Amino acid sequence: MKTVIPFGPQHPVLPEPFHVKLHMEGETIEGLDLQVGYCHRGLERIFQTDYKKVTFLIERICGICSFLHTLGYVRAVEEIMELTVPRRALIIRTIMAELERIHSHLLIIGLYGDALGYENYFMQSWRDRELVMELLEYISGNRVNYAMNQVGGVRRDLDEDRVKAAHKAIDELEKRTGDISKVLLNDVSIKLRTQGIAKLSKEDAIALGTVGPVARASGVAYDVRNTGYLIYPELNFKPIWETAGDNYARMQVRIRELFESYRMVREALKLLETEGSGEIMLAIKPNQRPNGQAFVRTEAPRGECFHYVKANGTPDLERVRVRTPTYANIYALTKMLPGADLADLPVAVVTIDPCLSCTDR
Amino acid sequence: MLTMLKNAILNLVKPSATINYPFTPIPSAKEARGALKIDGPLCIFCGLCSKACPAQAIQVSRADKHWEVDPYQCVNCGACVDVCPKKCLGFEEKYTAAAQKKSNVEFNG
Amino acid sequence: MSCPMSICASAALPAILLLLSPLFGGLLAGVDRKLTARMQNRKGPPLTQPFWDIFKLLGKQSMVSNPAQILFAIGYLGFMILALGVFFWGGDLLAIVFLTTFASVCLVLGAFSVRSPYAYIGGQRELLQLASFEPVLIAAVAAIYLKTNTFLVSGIHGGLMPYLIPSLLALWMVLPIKMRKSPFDIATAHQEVVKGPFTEYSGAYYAVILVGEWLELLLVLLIITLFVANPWLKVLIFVGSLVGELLLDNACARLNWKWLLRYSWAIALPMAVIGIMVSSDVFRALINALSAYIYIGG
Repeated sequence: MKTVIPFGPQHPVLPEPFHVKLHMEGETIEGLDLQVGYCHRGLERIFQTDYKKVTFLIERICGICSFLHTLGYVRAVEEIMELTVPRRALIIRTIMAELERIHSHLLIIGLYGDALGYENYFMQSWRDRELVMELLEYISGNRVNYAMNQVGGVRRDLDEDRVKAAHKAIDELEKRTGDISKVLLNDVSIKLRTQGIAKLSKEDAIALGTVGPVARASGVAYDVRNTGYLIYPELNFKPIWETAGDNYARMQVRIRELFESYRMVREALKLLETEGSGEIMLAIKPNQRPNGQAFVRTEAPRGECFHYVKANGTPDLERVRVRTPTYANIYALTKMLPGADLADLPVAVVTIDPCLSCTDR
Repeated sequence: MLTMLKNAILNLVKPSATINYPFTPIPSAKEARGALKIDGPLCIFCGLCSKACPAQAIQVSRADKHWEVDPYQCVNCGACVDVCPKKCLGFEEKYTAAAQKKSNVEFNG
Repeated sequence: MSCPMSICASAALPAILLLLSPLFGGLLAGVDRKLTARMQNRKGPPLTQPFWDIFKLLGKQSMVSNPAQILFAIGYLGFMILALGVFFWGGDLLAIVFLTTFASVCLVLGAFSVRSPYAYIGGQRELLQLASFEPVLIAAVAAIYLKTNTFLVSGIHGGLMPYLIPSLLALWMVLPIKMRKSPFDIATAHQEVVKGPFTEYSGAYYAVILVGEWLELLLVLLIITLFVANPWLKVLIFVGSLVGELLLDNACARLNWKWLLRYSWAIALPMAVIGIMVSSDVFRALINALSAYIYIGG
């Protein structure tokens, strides 16, 4: 029997509003139509204001990758204004970016358990995420929307106590993530539900322009951190990738990235300790204003994120444009899902890690 | 499966990770940006904070010697604290509690 | 000849039990939620939370998309009360099984009577769950009959255990299906079909359904207690089944309907059939003959 099931924009599994129209044959998905845009807030128009205020506004795009949006934006503005950011600020930015990746990945790893009906695992993952949230609060002052970046540097320094707290939190997190990864990678019931399901081939992954963990799970070893912004080259960053392209592989990539992030945060913290205190913020004269345009790529937790900034010599910006990773990834669902069960849809949606507040802005 | 079984049994004897909020207050981090506060007598009503605020949450009137913030519009970024020439603005470490009625924080000099 | 007093007493106790059963059921649901929360390292709601939920639901607007829904909601609760009543009065086990089946069918019909796709798929899945659970339950009841020569609950007295172990195991295996817990909570999988057959109920009618669910949980656990004679063992098996089931729920992801059928028809049902075999006289005669043969042969 053929049925059409509307899935979203409001649905218990979807953390974010988007609409999927499922064409079903019994319990099997035959095809789907996707629609995004339920969360449009007109933020890009609001960004046409004082370039210093935009740093605080642009992190409101999304609560989970808020640091990444400010990072992309300040990098673009710094490129326009030809500023050389102090090295200590770069290290702190790297630490913040990786901590944010950790908290985003732990969140989606938990939601994955929720989509599978594995409530206990979901709760454990989110309990552990509190550690990194508390650390972020201690470092930046807020749990989300850290207001850490500003054009020319960062606004808060990491003092000795904070570095120590960060070391402690990362050690504890690594231990707990070890436990979680045991479940995620070895649990029989999870494997039965995810291995070989919702496959995305390497060809499709490239043709659809997928980015981030979705592409990396399909064998495309593409990570923007490789292009060498911030201090990633010093931390010997290597992209993590898998070849299976199924639900299982996408989460496997994320959990392996967590361990890579822990390692990088540790090394960056050591750099902070060995190099001693220094300047964290460039002084910008009031008459120094951006003029020109720039375009940067940043690796958000969900993949490659584009930021374009156009300025005209006044403090108010002319245009800020963002292209988010979810916009590139979400259409991969149309290739993954046909042939899968209805029960696999929530899991596949979660493995894409959709962030619609980024996508719709 | 067995890992989680062990975990579930151990959790039964562990103290719970959640707290009875709001009856048990959450400990907030040191120097957390909770709620904007003003050390009134120092304020000279220059209006710089109002100009720097990205959320347009602060209203200042020099003529009436009046300073006002809408805590529900404030995004806790601290831009006003950075620009304040008298350093009279700051943050409480505690977050704004939920309220039934919205009200602004005001100061009259 | 029994005197009127004793008839009164024997009729009064089941009546009181039946009247109190929503209270027991609600507390059971509360314990379920509290224990689940503790296993997940959460604080969890107070034990009385299910009752507060009911009070809250009673105060809400009761929307129905089809008046037939009301009938089916009340039918679900009604059949559950009947089944529990039959149990407390020591009636026919087979009748209990059929009454619970009717109750579940009411749920399915209620889901099919509306045009919501979630309720519809939920109803189909509920039917699948029924098809997985009922054969095992009937086989277990049949095994009890073969052992005791009666279907009456009041006719079952101690000493059931050794030969009925396979039936009990089979019932334990399908318990998650009836309790709507992982790995087989597919009908009410909220991530997939919102709340399955319950999706289109709200307000007072949803409260009715919830009370029916408590009674169902209570009844299934009570049927399991029939397998042991000692009152202490009865309590132990009652609590043990609940806690064991919650532990499984917290150590397992949800599987899909294919796995449900594979599991219940290929593992639980054969186990129940073995249960019938070992409790039948023919089988025992065979065993005796075999052991005698071995004895002689030895």
